[in-house]
Amino acid sequence: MDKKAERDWKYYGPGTRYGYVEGPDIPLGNNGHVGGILALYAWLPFPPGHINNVGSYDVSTKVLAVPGANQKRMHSSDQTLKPVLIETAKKAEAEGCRFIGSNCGYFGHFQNDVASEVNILCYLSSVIQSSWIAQGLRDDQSIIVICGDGPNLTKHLFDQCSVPDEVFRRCHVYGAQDKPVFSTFTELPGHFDYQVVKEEIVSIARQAVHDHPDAGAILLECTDMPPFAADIASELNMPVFDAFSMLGFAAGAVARKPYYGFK
Amino acid sequence: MSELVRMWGPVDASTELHEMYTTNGQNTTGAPAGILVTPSYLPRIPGNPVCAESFGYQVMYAGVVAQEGVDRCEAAIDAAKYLEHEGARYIIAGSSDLADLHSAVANSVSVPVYLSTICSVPWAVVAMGFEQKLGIITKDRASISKDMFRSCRVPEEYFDRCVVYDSEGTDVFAKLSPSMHGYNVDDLRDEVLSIVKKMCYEQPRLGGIMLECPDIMPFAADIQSVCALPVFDTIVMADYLYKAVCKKHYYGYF
Repeated sequence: MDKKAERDWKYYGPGTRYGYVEGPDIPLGNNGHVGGILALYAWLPFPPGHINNVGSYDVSTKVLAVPGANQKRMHSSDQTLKPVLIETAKKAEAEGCRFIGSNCGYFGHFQNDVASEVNILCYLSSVIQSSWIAQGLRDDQSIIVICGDGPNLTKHLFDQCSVPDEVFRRCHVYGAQDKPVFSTFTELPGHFDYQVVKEEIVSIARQAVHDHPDAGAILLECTDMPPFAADIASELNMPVFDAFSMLGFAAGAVARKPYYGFK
Repeated sequence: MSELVRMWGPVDASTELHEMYTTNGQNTTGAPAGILVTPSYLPRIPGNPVCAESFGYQVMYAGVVAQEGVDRCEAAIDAAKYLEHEGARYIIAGSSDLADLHSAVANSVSVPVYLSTICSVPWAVVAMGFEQKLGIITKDRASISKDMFRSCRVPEEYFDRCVVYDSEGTDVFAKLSPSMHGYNVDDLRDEVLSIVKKMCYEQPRLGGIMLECPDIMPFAADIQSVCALPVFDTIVMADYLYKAVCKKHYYGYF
């Protein structure tokens, strides 16, 4: 952005005296949304807990469509997407968003490329968290990563997300690409049976924990899966991290409010 | 101690509870966060991680006190095990002097451990551009070192992505010590805000600010209104962990 407005990140709370206040640089689009979610086209239901369901966030959030982006291009790291991704991220920044997320973990193929082009926090893939999780675990524990498309969750994506090699080696990747209903998502059917998909995802987690009893946590890469995170935590009895936990970290840092309470 | 029993899933409207089990001797349930603290007489106002009112959920504290025959590492491990036994789902530190024990404690318990805000340096930096810096505010610049990063399991290269500002030249901030019984909070806030303004002036490529000292964390919102940058601290890190280890079902509309 050539013309960069002075950011106002002040918290307007009880007793705030406003005085003279400036309006935005652009007449449309800037309505105080704290979070901006870059979205590829996906005709699928977005129940509560889906990353496109803005009712699931603690801060005001909007979804920005990335023209021409779809699952196929994103999963395969189609580099021709880069300019339009950066353009949409800059749009989110110009419209006042304080952090950027995405509606597909495979945006992670472009994490560093996009983060370098904007001045706001950019968290494009849940995979970023794998190294955060590893920091808190015992050295002998591993991490289970459940994703939508196993073969495309490549080392390149982990590298773009700044995950160190030694952490990458502690991650066991499980994909849902062969599950009967989940696999139809790539065809954008516009519908799915929630209970069936839940069982498909929980069964992957069950298998993964059975294969790797040393696992200390489960990480959901796919943004279609957070609705089932609590079910996975209940059944496998271990911490489950997903895209919402990561975006909650971003939201927590950019939307600070004063503390009130007892001393 | 008996075997630890922990239910990581939520109990909510969709839960059917049947036969339940619990850890023998566990007195507390429903407090997800365990916080290690070292002895101090400093004030604990809301926003400081040693004040339970700073969190939107329940937290428990355990003191780390070295004694004759028990070094501080053993004391920290004992305190962490106590919190784990009481049902903590993650363990953090409310004091800034436990960072060197991070690995030892993390390897001693079955729950995730993060003993310094410095653990979250990569979490902030990964979301910034290559040329952006993370500005750390601490009491004493010398306490932030590559060694500290290593003990927090943060790759060394992140050290070069940080600029560190400390309390040098201030009246209240520079004198903070665990044996001090009180100070004027408004003066401390003014000093910290001056440091932030100076940092923003001297570092045009700042991508965020991290508060390493717990006593200045209550001013996070004031700092953000001055610099319009992300402000990271122990509370932000703790809230993130809470979201992950207390996973809830989502309800709403679609």
